[in-house]
Amino acid sequence: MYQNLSSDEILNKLAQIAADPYERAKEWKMETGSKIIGCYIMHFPEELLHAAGVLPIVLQVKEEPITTGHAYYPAYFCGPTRSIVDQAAKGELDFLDGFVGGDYCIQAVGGAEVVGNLLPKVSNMFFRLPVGNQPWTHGDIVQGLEELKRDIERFADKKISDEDILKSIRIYNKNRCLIREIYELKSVHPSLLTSSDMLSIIKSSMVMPKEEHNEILESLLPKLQSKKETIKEEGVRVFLSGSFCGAPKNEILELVEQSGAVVVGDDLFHGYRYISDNIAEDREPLEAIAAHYIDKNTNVPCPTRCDPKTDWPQYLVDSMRKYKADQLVIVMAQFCEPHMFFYPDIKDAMQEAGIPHLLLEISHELDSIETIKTRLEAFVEMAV
Amino acid sequence: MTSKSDRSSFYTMGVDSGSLTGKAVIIDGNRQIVSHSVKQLGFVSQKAVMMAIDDALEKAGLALEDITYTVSTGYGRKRLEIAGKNLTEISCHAKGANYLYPEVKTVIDIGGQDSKVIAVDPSGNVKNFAMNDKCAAGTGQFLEVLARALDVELTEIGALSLQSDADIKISSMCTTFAESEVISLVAEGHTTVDILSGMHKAISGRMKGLVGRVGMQQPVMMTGGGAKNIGLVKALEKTLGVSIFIPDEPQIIGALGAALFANDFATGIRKKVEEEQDLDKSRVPAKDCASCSVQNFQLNKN
Ligand code: SF4
Repeated sequence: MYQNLSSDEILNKLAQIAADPYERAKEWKMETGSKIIGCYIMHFPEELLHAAGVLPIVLQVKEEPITTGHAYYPAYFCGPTRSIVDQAAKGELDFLDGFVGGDYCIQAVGGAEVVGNLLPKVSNMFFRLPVGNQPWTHGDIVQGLEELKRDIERFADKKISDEDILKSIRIYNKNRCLIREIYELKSVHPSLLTSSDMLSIIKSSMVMPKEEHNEILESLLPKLQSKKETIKEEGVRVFLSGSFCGAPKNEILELVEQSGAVVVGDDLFHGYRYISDNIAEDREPLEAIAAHYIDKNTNVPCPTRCDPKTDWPQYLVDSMRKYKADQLVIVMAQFCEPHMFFYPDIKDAMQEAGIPHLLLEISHELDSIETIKTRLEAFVEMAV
Repeated sequence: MTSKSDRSSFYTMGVDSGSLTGKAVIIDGNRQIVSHSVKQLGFVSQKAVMMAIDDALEKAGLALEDITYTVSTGYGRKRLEIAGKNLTEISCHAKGANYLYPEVKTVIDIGGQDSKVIAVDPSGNVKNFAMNDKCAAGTGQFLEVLARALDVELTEIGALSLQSDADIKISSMCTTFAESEVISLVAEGHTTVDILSGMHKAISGRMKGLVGRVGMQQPVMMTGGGAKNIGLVKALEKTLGVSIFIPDEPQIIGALGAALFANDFATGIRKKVEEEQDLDKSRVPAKDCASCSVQNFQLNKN
């Protein structure tokens, strides 16, 4: 069905799915009569949930102002958690059958707790993902996965076999491979896709059946391949970093490009971080997923994983060189503690490496777009 | 002032469409200032900008057709149709400050809506900058609101505040809360001069944080409307422990920088914008999705 569409038409389709992130899942539920589980951003073994025949979706931040949710979660917590609490408080997540919270950051733990209380009819589960990278970490993660598997089996009323998980892993690996191919294309031809296009690709992947997303990407890739030669490359090369849990706002991404920059790479959660690594298909599946949590953190370090063997600032310096980026733009969700905690080290590393960087601390309500615009433009002007 | 015929054969103009004022500067081919103008009317007033342009042209004895190239800057920079290129006030203040004082390393610009600290290199390029990005704290607007609450003219607050030797602390930097704090101080019987002095100290404290983000290097210059407030300048000097250079016309520095950039474009030192693509149109293809923010953003811009 997508074969006859142009790359722009396919991207528009993905942008529409991403803009109304729960609609496709709701349709799928009507079509299949199966269950949907909402995952409370950021690290979830979607494959394990998928293996039970349910559709896992990553809950998305909505750009609308927080209203009802104010009563349940304080304004000095991060936008991503506040937005999801707000959606739950407004009844927008009532379509979910299950909900999985996680413990990777204190605000996420609290937010998941509140959401669980706001959705009494929804099965409330928890994924315990131990942090660190010690000799026992892998075994601990396997245990957390076994606990979740037990809960999911009860929820779906289905025994999950190793074969089921492996099948799901293959589908998810394929999705990651396809998106990585698009990333490779974009790193060589940055103007082929805008960063909003990339966001639509990742965001839609998070909220729709992966099988269907794979099909779309398989149609999109050859079209992008043939389009790449016609693209004129220009602009200051920028690497985008940060924005945990919530997608960076489209307005911000557009401003980066309107300021005269092209985005050559990123480590966003709604970006390369989501698809950086595959899960091994030749190991016992839960062990493979556990190893994946450790490995993907080596690929793209995440501060919430508290892994002493990884070095996020150094990763950023290396990425700047790898992608031949001129400048680094850091998008930080306001009040995101794990990110704030790392920023001083990133700043030092950038200064030492002589890499100009701009920190944009973005509030959920986006109170000063004009100022952000001026700062981005001035930053890009520095490189011209 | 020299007569029109003596001057170098072409002119360029810089226009700063600020949040509260419009400013224009015309320079000749030798990069000498020919005329300038500052007009205040209201928020991002196009009328003030046009008045400043007309005034600067009139003072120079020139017509718009005599201007080879124009660069616009400031909040309303994108809306000035006669401009060949628009650049941020950060780049323009750095360039203008460097022209007047080539040794300058740090520029503090306190404007109507925001304040900025800019680290400048010896060629007038921006090395680093910080900008207040949350609210009007420490800006011209903040002072204006508080001057109104105290019933004094904005132009008088600087000199008045210098008469105080009291040490009043204003803790809130939110314009709204600071206003009620000022009203409480008046109710407690504190004098206007003491409160004004406290206000300047509060802004200086805030600016110190912003300066710290960039790292202060001397010499320091202050630009923008805030530099005309002697009370604020003295308070800042005390807080930062440095003496600050104030140009004769601190409000025109952004427009001056823009005029110098215009000269660069006119002489080919920099590439003219006509040779580039219109970034707004080329980089963000419109999507035919009615509900997505891509479209909304484009609608909002028009
Ligand atoms: S990692 Fe940051 S953005 Fe995500 S939940 Fe924690 S504080 Fe919020």
